[in-house]
Amino acid sequence: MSLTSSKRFSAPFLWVYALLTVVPLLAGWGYSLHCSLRPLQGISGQPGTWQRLFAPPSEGGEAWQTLSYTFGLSAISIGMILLFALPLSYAFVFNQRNKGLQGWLFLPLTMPPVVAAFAFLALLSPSGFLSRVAYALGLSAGIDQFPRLVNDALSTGIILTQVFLLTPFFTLAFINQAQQENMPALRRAADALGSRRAQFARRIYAPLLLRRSLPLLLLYAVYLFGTYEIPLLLGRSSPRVVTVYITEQMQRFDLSNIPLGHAMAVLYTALVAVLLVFLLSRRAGQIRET
Amino acid sequence: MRKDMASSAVLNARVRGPLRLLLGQLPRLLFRLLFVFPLLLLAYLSLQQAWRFPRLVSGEWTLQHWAATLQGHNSLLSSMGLSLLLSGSVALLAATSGFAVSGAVMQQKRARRWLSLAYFPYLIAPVVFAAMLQFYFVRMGWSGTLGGVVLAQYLFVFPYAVLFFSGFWTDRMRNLIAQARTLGASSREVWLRILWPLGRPVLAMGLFQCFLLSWFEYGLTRLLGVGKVQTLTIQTVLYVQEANPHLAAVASLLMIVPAMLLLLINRQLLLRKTSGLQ
Amino acid sequence: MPAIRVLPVIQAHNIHKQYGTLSVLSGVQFQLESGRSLGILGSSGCGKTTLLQIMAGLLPADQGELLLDGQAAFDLTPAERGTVYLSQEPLLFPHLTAFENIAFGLRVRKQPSADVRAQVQDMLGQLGLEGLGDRMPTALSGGQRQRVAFGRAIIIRPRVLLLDEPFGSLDAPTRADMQQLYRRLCAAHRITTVFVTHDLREALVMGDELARMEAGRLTVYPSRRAFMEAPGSGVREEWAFWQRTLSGEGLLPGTTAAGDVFAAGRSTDLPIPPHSPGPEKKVPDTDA
Repeated sequence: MSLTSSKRFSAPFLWVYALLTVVPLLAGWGYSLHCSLRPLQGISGQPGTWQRLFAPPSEGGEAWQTLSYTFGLSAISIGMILLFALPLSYAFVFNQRNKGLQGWLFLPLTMPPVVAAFAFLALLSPSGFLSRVAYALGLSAGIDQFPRLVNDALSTGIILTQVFLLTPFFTLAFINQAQQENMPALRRAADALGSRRAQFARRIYAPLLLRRSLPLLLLYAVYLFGTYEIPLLLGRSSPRVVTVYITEQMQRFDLSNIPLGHAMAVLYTALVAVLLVFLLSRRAGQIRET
Repeated sequence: MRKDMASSAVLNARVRGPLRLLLGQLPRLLFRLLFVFPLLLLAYLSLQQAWRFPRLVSGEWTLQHWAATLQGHNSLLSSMGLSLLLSGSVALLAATSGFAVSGAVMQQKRARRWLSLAYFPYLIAPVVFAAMLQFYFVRMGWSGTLGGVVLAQYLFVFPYAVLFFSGFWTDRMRNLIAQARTLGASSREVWLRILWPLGRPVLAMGLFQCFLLSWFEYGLTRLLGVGKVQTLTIQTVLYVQEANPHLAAVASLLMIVPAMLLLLINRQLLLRKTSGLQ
Repeated sequence: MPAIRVLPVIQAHNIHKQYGTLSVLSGVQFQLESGRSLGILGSSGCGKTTLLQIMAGLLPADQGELLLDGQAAFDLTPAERGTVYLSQEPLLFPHLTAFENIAFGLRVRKQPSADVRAQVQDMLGQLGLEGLGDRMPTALSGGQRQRVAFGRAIIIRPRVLLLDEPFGSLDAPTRADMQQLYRRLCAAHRITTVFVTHDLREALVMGDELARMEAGRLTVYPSRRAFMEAPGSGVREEWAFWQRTLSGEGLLPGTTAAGDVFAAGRSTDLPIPPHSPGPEKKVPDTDA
């Protein structure tokens, strides 16, 4: 296509694109920033929104707690997903007999987070399926005796649900990547050099896939940082993840809490944006290198 | 002698066969169970009259929750219709515009940089996006309307579509288009004779992904729909919060059915895509 | 009586192209008469692909003028120019059969179906592809795909055919076949062509006129002899190589490689690497 004509054709598309991707986000962010900086009406001598947000926990400031809780939750989830997805993908790549099982990996992909959260609630809650199994086996004496696995301090339910939903996706991604890297040939080469299978898995398979999938992993870490439905249904009222904190502050009857929600939204969006800029520029650098 | 050995080996295999088979298959069985169990649990709950602790199996099977749903005694069926309409519209809008726009973006000299823009609205949690946009939506009178929710969902599904389709506009595709143009094809003919036939499977796949993205969405719809746009996800959460596990299970299964159907149809495409890479 | 001057099909005047600070084409100038072919010899990165893409309308020039049959071409779309650009990769449309690929240009020109069928059948015959019209591109060999790409371009009677290393990806026998076919078809259809190659022999076999491109500058030679005598064309080096080979000297100056191979009683398809350690062998110089 000649550049002149393609320019003529693509210019309106580019305008639409820029308009749709940049303007709403900036407008929303700008409004939230405005709300978080605006002094509360009719209340003088009150500390500003940002001071309240970042006040020590003893004085009701929740920023650090919320942010670190959300960060920890996504880090642990990603870690556990890798712990399962890497060996699973290995079993699929190197054992042809498992090929028929690959279709089962698609099942969780059909589940919305809301549905998965409900299914795990039915499975893990004190009156849920596992609790009944424990009761039937004589391992627990009743609802109160069963360890709390949902709405618990360790966020077990949230983590398990996220691992259930995302492990198949990462397994499929790793299988794909392993095929692109021609892992079977690499293993034959490693065999010929006298490496044991476990050494190959530890020294070649896992590091290579992790390196190649790093951008994907980080993008999913960002995604998990903004996860909402699962913590909403399976989490505790405190600490809360960032998204739940924001929506709850904005829907409180006490109007003075609304700016806190906006301030957290500003912070969250800025954090994600900074991370993304870092990630994307890194990737651009990698592309230039190759 | 050799015959003896052979027959004893057969005997051996016959005796040890079932146990070994079971042990060998056990991990595979567990694997299947792991993925299918949550679904089975949902199906079970949807067919139970009541599920009182500590009974594992109550034995009181019923179709009443399904019957009530299909006869319209609750709002699940209408919610499903609304969800189909909503997600269908969002997917159609986002996939078609995303396809064209990604074509324009990928033609740019700094295509990667342009493409980066799409990551921001796509990766910000939709519920936070909605919280920040709520003011504008209320101001414009879009809050609580179907159109408003379509627009809001479009704002994060469209960037995804652009990212998704960017993989289609490879150098090779650009060269094919250039070839068609030098052979005398007009822009319209390039679309009709090259891009449409070659892009159709990719478009179908993108449409499906966009549909699911919208179909799965809860937070943004709740915030901007303010209870007036009752999609299936919203109904599901309502039933969960009302402690009605049976209807929540029916709603959950309704949510999974179209996604599963689409996935079954589209898996061929998925497989073709991976086999092309080998 | 003065000879009638034929208006050249291509007139390129002072074409410039720059990418950032890098000058890719500087002051390219040439003309070519109808039915002639210009072979441009150049190494990779010398700007020859850029020149062809500018002529095809796939890239804009920064400066200069291109006249096709006397008409200013830079304002025309690729489709309006009547030039077809063919690259090393045949770029067949993957969803169309060989027949439909060849028919593509006629179909977009809305020619009647019966005409299209007849013309394409005829073209398949000329290309030596009878009976293969129903095949999808993936079911064709590399050479066959290249033939289809050729047929697809020639059937629309382009004003100018632009070939970018068209046979670069083919093996030697197929390549020679294709060069023959190309000459035959271009002569039969009186098609004006500009092609670029880095292969000296290909340039000599296929070009009526010869040029060399180096660092964005094009030198057109007035005659074949001038081309062959020009220091950078590579003809002298080629000539020297064959002379050394025939006289039994080493293939590289200072060695007697050919003699070695036979003396050691080895077959000729097992050439000894020039650096293999041997008692009487010197490490050869690499600058031939």
